[in-house]
Amino acid sequence: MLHYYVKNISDILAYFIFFYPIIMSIVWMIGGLYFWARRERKETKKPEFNINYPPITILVPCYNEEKTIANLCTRLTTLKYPDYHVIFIDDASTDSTADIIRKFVDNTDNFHLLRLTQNSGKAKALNYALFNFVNTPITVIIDADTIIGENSLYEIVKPFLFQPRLGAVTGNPIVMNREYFLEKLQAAEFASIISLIKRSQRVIGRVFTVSGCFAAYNTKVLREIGGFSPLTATEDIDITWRIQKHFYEVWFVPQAIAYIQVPSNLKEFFKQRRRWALGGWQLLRTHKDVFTSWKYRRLWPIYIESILSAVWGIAFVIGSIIWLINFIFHTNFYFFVSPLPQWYGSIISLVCITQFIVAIFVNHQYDKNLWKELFWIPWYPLFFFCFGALFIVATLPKGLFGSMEKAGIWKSPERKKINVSI
Amino acid sequence: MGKDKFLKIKNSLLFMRNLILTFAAWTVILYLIKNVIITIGWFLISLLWKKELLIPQSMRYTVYTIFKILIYAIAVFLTMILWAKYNYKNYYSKNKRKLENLNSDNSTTNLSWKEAVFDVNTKEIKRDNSLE
Repeated sequence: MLHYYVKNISDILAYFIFFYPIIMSIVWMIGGLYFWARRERKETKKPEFNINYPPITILVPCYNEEKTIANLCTRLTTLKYPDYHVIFIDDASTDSTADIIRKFVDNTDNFHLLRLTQNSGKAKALNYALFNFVNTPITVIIDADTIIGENSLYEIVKPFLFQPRLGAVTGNPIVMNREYFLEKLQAAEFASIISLIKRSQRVIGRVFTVSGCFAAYNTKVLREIGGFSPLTATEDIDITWRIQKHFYEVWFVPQAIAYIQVPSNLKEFFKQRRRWALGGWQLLRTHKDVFTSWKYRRLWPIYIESILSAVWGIAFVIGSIIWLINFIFHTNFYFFVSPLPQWYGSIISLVCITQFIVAIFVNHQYDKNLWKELFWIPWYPLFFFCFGALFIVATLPKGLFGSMEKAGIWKSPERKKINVSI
Repeated sequence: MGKDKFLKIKNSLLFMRNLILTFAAWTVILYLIKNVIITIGWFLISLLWKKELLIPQSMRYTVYTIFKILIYAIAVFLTMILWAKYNYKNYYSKNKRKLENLNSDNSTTNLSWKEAVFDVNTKEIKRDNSLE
């Protein structure tokens, strides 16, 4: 009898490992195409300039960003938006970040430098500025290593003028450093996974996360929900959920382009992915009340998707370990997953490549060179499926049971100095 | 003396030539490595498809699976259309929780400082460089 149940459960888990990526990939592809057909196909590239745009405050949290901050400062001086302030928040940097910013602040009327006496983490740094200095209806947050498009501010603010219950709008991150293998794979990932997921989540109605590198918020909503939480490794995911739990909308606007830097080496990449995986667990932990109330039912799909992704990662790792045991010791355990792709793996790879082709199609107007990364795609599933699953398992104990008191203090990946001409 | 000068110029020209050739050689090597990695990836994936998907034994099952995936994709598409229509009628058109119109507040108070220090322990603001 026990033998029968074990076999059945093993079969269900094996089918789940195979079908779950395919099921989600189809949802993302169809959702991405549907969103494109409704919201992007007829949109012109130029924003509407004849609207009365509200004043905005741009907050730029910085910690040891001497390599990249000058690029952002230069771009922020050339934006066409009619009325904006920029507050650079220097979170007690130990390098020359403050000195570089100061040079721009001295020469630009709407630039301001707020220096913190002690390193406090991104969430607290933003809250200090938000509750003490922001006096505009819209607050835009830009990471120090990010360069926004010339018209991106118009695009990211415009939806606030038409949707009266909008809490936040997230921009469209495009990878700007694509020199090395790892960077190219991440460029493909941002286009084929992250941007398609955001589009399909908008169709479903709730977004999993804003992009922390470039997002605009209704200042009143931010204050109403108490600002950013320092008790999580991913403050952007947390704020998105809290905004939506207060019944405000979060939108994705692909026209609001932000060029970002991704980690160039494995060490920095692992650090970043570990933090993301940890943030995912902390989200499940801190927002478990989503399931206790009927009024949060619209958040259920993305919460369930997060749980299933975590279960998939755990099942994949356990299945692979059992496969290894079977392989080495010639045992015959029922439940195993071969990490070497076979028939199931080839179907998944086929779907994965189709997904990337869909991503190239919907992102082409924002990123003309994305098709070049298609050549690297065969490596993508092997690389990211395995690492993604491993990080989910590795961060499980800390994410579910560890202290979250200092979770909000972390270092950005190492930056490269880039001369940008976007 | 003239010969020394000539040798000096010759050596520096040789050095420049070697430098350029080394740089060119490395560019070619890196370019080739990049293309080899790409080729290996596509070769492995085509081998996998040929071995697993395109053999007579699995052809029927592969076609059947792709057909099922297509049916599922159509179902997802139809669900999204219906869901979007439902949302538009029962959610957006009501918009119960309206925020104030942003256009009503079109003036902003300029910040009166260029640089400020915020003491995170005492929560006090010290202004270094006032505009006033």
